[in-house]
Amino acid sequence: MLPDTVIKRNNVSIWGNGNNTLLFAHGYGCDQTMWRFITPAFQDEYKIVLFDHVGSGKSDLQAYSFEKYSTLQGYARDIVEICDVLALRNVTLVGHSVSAMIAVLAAIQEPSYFSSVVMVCPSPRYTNDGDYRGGFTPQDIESLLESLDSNYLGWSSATAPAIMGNPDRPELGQELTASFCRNNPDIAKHFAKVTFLGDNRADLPKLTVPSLVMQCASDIIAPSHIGEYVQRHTPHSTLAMMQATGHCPHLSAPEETIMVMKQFLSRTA
Amino acid sequence: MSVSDHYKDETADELYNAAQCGYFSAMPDGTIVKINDTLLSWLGYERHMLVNRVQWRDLLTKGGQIYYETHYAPLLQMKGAVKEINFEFLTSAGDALPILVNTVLVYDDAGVPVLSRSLVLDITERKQYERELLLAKNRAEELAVQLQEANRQMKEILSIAVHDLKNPLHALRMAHQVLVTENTNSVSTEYRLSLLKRNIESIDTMSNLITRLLQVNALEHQSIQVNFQRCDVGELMTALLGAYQLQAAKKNLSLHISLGETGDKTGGELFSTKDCVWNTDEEIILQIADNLLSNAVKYSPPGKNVYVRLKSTNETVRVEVQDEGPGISQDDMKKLFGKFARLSARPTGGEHSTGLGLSIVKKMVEAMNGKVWCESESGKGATFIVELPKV
Repeated sequence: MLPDTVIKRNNVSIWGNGNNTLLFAHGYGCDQTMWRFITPAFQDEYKIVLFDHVGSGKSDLQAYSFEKYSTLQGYARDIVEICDVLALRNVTLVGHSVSAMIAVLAAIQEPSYFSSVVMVCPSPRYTNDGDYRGGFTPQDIESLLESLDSNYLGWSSATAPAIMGNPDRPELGQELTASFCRNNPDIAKHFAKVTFLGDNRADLPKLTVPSLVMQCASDIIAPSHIGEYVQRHTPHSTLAMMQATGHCPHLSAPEETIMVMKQFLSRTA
Repeated sequence: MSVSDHYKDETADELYNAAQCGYFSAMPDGTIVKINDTLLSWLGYERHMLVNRVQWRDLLTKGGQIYYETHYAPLLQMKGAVKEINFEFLTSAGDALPILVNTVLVYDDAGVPVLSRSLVLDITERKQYERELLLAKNRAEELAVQLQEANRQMKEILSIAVHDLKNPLHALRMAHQVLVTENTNSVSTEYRLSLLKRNIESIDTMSNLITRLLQVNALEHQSIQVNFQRCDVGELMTALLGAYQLQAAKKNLSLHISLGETGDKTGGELFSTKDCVWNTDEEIILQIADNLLSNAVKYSPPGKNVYVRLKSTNETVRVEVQDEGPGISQDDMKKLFGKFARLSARPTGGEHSTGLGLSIVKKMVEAMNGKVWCESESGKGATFIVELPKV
């Protein structure tokens, strides 16, 4: 693929200094702006690469294919392509929520590109299956889709003006927040189904690069026993139990998130 | 104190607790620290059951909890405020209460969020209205799809009618041209007769097409009236076969009929009328069989056999028409019973096909609560099976 096509498709932003790269993949529901509180702490030592998954944020909606993105592999291929066109090596791939699994898949597809993987609040399967307690039933996921439907009444097809402000400035302008977390309804529902009805447990043992599992307290989407499950089934992985609560420590507890990441990066460097 | 001065006695506490909306304050992790009476009464909980004990997220439906974590919380943390988020609370009785939530974050001097304040509106009635809207929208979308399909079919009908009427009309005109302009003496009586015969064929083709189109149109727009009566289907089919003998002979086809089989046994007694008197609609079953037999004759290469079998089980009766033609490809199988199915098979004797016959068969079979399907392997002929419930 042409570099420009990939850059535009995934709305890739690149800055920072360093031979090693931190590549951040946002989770379900939002876009790359989620990483704003984290990236300033790394940009002096790392090249920072952010992107939006196709269908989210300011990605190229024309590039969305219900077929390609019917499994997480499609998203993982995009990450590998971003590394291809930017010639990125020694990449630490940081994936939040569903993107933790996407990161695992990308690192399995092209292990030579990645030096390590950071999984922020990962879950390899959100629905229950026998003894495995993912936490949700298919009916719960249906009710999520209803929630999406009800909140789309406020979604407007008019897109917010395209901007990517100064990444040094963590506070967000009105223009940016206007589009944050507001994705095309059909795509968002499809992504929700792919995310929450998927099963990537069998992929964890295939990861060959070192990885970090960042586990929040009181995370209903990825509870502690799931973090432990991920660590147990992933070779060369470390589990970090955090004090941050909820599902987005990079928003609710950026300092702790940065500290835990730095500890891991210094160990694997 | 005058009536209009009552507002002066309203306290902040009263305004807070008895407000027409719910209020609550929560720690940054969502733990409820303060909640007003209105919201407590909606939820059906006592204050001590919630305050400092429950994260308000846990009062939501499961789907709402995921929405909270994937949309609401990030949005709130990024923007410091969110408006008009639709959730459903689960009350202590387990009922769903649709709500709208507005939340603002309160920061300390260092800019760290220390508290969130939320306003809750009960939108039960609005929600019902929204559901109606959603249903209406879905219905409208379905209808649009149906209309598009109907429109497409109308265009097809038009283009087929134009195309298929044009050729015989052209032939008709040519023949008339010859008859009018040629010197009467230079045209032999035989030639003139053959031209007139061909004209009749052209007229029959056009008339047949028009009949079919009218039939399809009628089937599309009105339900088929089925009049059940005792009917000797064996006799009916035997007569039908007789009517096709001439056409079959032209292609050296042999037509066979076997009647009164039971179960799946083959080779029943020929021309016995056992079990072949059914309660059915004579007109419809004749049209169904006529269509199937006409196809079998049309698509059979010369010298082959066509079999018509009537079968009866405990609950059903069957009409089967089997040919030894080219069979039906997997691709064609899918569109076989659709209107204007453009299939790869071609009539073997230059006959005409409107592409409507099988769609008419399907409609008629369904009107009698039956099923029709085709069993075929490409290259090994095809068997069309009509199965009707005994009535």
